[in-house]
Amino acid sequence: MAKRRIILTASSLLFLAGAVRVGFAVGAEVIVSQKDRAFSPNAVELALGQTLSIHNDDQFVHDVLVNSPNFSFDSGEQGIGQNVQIEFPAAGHYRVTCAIHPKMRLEVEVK
Amino acid sequence: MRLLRRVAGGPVAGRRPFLLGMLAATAASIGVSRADERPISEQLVAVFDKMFRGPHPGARAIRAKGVACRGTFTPDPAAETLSAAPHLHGGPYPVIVRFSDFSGIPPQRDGKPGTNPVGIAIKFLLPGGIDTDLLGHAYDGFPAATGEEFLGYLRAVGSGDAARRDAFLAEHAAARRFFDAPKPTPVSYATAPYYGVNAFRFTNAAAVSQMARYQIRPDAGEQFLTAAEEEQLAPDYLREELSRRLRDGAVSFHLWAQLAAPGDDVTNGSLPWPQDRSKIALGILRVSALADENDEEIRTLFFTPMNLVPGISSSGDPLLAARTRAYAESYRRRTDGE
Repeated sequence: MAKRRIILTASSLLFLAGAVRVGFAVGAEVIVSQKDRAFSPNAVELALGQTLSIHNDDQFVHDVLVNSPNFSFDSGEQGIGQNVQIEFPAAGHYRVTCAIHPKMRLEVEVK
Repeated sequence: MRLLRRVAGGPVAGRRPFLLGMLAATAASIGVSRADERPISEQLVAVFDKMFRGPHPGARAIRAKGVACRGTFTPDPAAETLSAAPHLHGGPYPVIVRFSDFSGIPPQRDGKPGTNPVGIAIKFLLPGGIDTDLLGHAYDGFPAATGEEFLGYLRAVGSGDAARRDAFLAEHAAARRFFDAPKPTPVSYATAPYYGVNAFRFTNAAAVSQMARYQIRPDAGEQFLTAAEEEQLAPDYLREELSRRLRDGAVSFHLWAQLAAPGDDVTNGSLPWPQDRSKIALGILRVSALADENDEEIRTLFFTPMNLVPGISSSGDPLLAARTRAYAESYRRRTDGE
């Protein structure tokens, strides 16, 4: 947990500095932005064990969902400025959506 | 930066009660004998499938039969005292309105059991490609306060087991009220009053917040059919009636925000507030024409009470999240492969 906090702090600082592009892997996490009711980028690749970090840069509340046969995730209400982290349990393809805006789709390939 | 990290692992005389007519068809098919570990949203959709003999390809799990329309919303000047939401200022704004029967059976005949209360969903189309939704149905309240309780209600009422149903209703007053309440078919989708069920937090430009619920009142007056008239309805009566009515001009509704008073429960949509609560006029909804059902925008319509814009936010009512996830599950299923 301590390690994760350090990683998140570093990525947060990079975000503030504008040095991080969305979808860019930072250490053990890959960062995706929610903006204008879309994921950006809308497809990412992760190595097994990497964390997907989804940041709400929008002016709307979101609710991140994954409904796969072997993995379910529901962030609950994700407020403006909030960050959601997901660790996928196994290699494979996952589709991330938003319960409030289901036309938002993020394809995740875990290798 | 804030972090979220969560891993989910009895009828009034002359009226048919809600769902009663479906019980024979679905008897003993809905109850489950073991723990169901699926998300509540999936369980709700599964129960509706059982009730309505679904899934029906390309159709919603509930409110499968409806009519989409186009129109405008003109906000009332008073609305901006309540909220800074963009659609409550200026205007008018284009809207898409979908009226619907409750049932999850697309060809269900209007007026038959399971079709009421009818519903309304409004999508306000705002500059910049943004939209926001408002949903209501023709009943002031709801049979359950949470998704879990609603699931229990549906399973009890749909079990075909009168003793099980009555035991549930005896312990759940809101469910009892809903079950017993008359739910007549309106003369028209344009003559039904609609209620927003859940409260929302409205915040104005001065950052002053108030809790309120939507009410939608038909300018044509509230008019309902008698039980005898319901029996004679054409299968698609409500759609055809609305189409005829619109040839004579737009139909309109007044939208209101019913304000919570101190002590009102703002996180329990099953409890209606007294009708003497103060109201603020939000504006006038005008429905002018039926929409083209083959239009991509109409075919992929999705409504949820949580599709909000700044100036309106969740009240914390847990039913808002439960409804949203169930609708999203239904949407995912009907659009899979697109």
